[in-house]
Amino acid sequence: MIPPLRPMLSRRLMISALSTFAVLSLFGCGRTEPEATPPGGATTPGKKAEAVSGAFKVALVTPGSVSDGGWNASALAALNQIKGELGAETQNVEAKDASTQEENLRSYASKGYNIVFAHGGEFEAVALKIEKDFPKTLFVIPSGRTIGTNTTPVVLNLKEGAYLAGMLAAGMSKTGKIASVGATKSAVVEEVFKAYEEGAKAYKPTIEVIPTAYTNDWEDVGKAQQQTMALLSNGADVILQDLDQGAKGVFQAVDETSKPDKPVFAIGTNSDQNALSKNILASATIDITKAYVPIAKQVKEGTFKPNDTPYGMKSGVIGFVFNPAASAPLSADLKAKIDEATKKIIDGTLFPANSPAKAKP
Amino acid sequence: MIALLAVTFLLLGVSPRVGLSALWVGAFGDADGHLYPLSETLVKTTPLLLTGLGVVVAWRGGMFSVGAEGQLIVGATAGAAVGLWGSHLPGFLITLLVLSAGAGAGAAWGYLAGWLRVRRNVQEVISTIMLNYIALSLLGALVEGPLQEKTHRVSQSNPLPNSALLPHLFPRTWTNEIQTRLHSGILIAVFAAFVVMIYLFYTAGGFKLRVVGQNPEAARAARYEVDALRLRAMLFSGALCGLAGATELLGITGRLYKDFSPGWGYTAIPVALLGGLHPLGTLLSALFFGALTAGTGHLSRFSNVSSVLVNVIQAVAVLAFVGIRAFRNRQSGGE
Repeated sequence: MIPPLRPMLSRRLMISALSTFAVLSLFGCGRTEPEATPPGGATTPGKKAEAVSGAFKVALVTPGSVSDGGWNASALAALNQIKGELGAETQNVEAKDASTQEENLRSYASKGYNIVFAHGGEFEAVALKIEKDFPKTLFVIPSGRTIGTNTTPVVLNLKEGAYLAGMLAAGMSKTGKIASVGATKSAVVEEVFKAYEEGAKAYKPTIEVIPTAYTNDWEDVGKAQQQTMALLSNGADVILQDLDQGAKGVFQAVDETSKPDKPVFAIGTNSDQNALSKNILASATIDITKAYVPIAKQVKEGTFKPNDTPYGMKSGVIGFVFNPAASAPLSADLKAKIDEATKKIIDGTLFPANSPAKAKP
Repeated sequence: MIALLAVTFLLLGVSPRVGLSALWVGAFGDADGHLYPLSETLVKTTPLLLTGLGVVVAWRGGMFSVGAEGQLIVGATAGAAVGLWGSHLPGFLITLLVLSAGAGAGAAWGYLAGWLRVRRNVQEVISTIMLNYIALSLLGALVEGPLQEKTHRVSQSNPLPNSALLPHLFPRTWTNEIQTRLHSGILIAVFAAFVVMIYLFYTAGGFKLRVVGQNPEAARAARYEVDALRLRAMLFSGALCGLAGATELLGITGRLYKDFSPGWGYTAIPVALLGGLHPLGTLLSALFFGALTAGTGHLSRFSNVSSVLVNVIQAVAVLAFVGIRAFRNRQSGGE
């Protein structure tokens, strides 16, 4: 056995050391934030940035795999176009979970990248937190809301496409019930489903729109499939999804359930997913290239200013593509009404789910 | 180890020279003396070391806890709750409160598993896994419920006041005016390593704990309070893991959110084992894992290796390390 004196001593030692250390490590606690304008041509709000001299470096951080054939794949396509057209040096990485977001954004910014496309609204808080540390880098947040010093949102009016999807769903439904599957509930996502409901009710006021089923996971195929199965067995026969990789689960469930005498359909979003199944009626698309490439060009020329002007069908960023190979044809009346609504949206006379006042003429 | 990594890179279709140098640069910095990568290595070391120490204490006491992850999450959650509740207080007071709340909540979470073991004979391996899930779901519910930020858009809490955050260690002048994330949490973690060492190897309590871990029957025969010692091991272990969550909260994230931990508490087990369940060994192995995480992160950002394959590289590095040790042991006829 250890003699009793020794533990006594070391315990006393431990306690005194611990308290000394506690005081020391907490002394001077808190952080002083750097001045708003560090040396070297800072971008200040309202002021134009300088044109890029030297290497033009652009990075992309995606929330999921770039081989999802959807949201993240389109971002990589935009990055490659920026590389080709603007001669930018490009890099990309997947931030697998929230805890690696900051690290990835910081790493590129610390290497002097001119633009970091942080491909999702979930990056907004982190970008706004770290932007002051990297005044020479522009952080671009699609589906973001807040204009920062050197952080810009890219407001995407996917809801315009979703409105048309709602009309299509209401027109194609035989059971009179339509539904939708989403990932995480956020203001932007909720607007998409609200526009879907508006479109459906506009075409057929008696249509029943089952409240959106959320999986809380953009990527999980299994969860999306289960939710879709549940909605289908509930009588819904057209499903709109707003998912990334998870969309595949929705399509699988629809393909499994669809019978020639009792067809069920899905509607794609974020990219043209029509080729994935003949049961996909159409896709509400986002062509992020048409937003990202002009931003990169303006940054390179030094004319970009953070802004929240929405990108909708007018800019060509949002589109609505029918599936030519769809298993069921749509009636002439439905097609005409959708075309009419499309025109109104582009003209700026129809605002699904209250498009921001700014988008109005 | 380098040879094995080089072969892996070849198999993945990356030039070994490029791959290895990316790993090195990402972990320790490049030729221009840029300290940013090194700071990232230490940033990753901090939670790995604290949770690794937690595992050391529990396993030395014969409690094969895999609950570090849950204890870390509970620690961060409690820390955030207390910090946001007391956000009007002076900064250093909040820091103290958050750290103690984190350690306290982690300890309580560990105690639960310990209590289930000594009173109900529930295997701690099972109970700690279940408690991990509960902690994760609890965090999810809180950041989408009572602790959600004021706009209610994102699954995260409001940020803690700046005055409460742990101070940064590297001045900006060391890193070409780039603010690093390295915070004083690393000092807390290294200090904790020494505290754990003194406790385990230089106090009667620590001695008894190790006896219980090695041979509970002998400990019983020596009239040690086996149950109380097991509970103490879980308490201490939980406190360390909870502290890891609180330092991560105050040092890095500044707020609570879903997916708060990328699995620190699970990596903690290989960290502790590679460190030979010794606090100082754990210190070194946490550094190794920290460097590896930072290096592979860099690799995935600045080369065409996909982030999935990066996990393969991490695993190869760890296996190589274990293999080398086993080989050395056999050669020296040890263990």
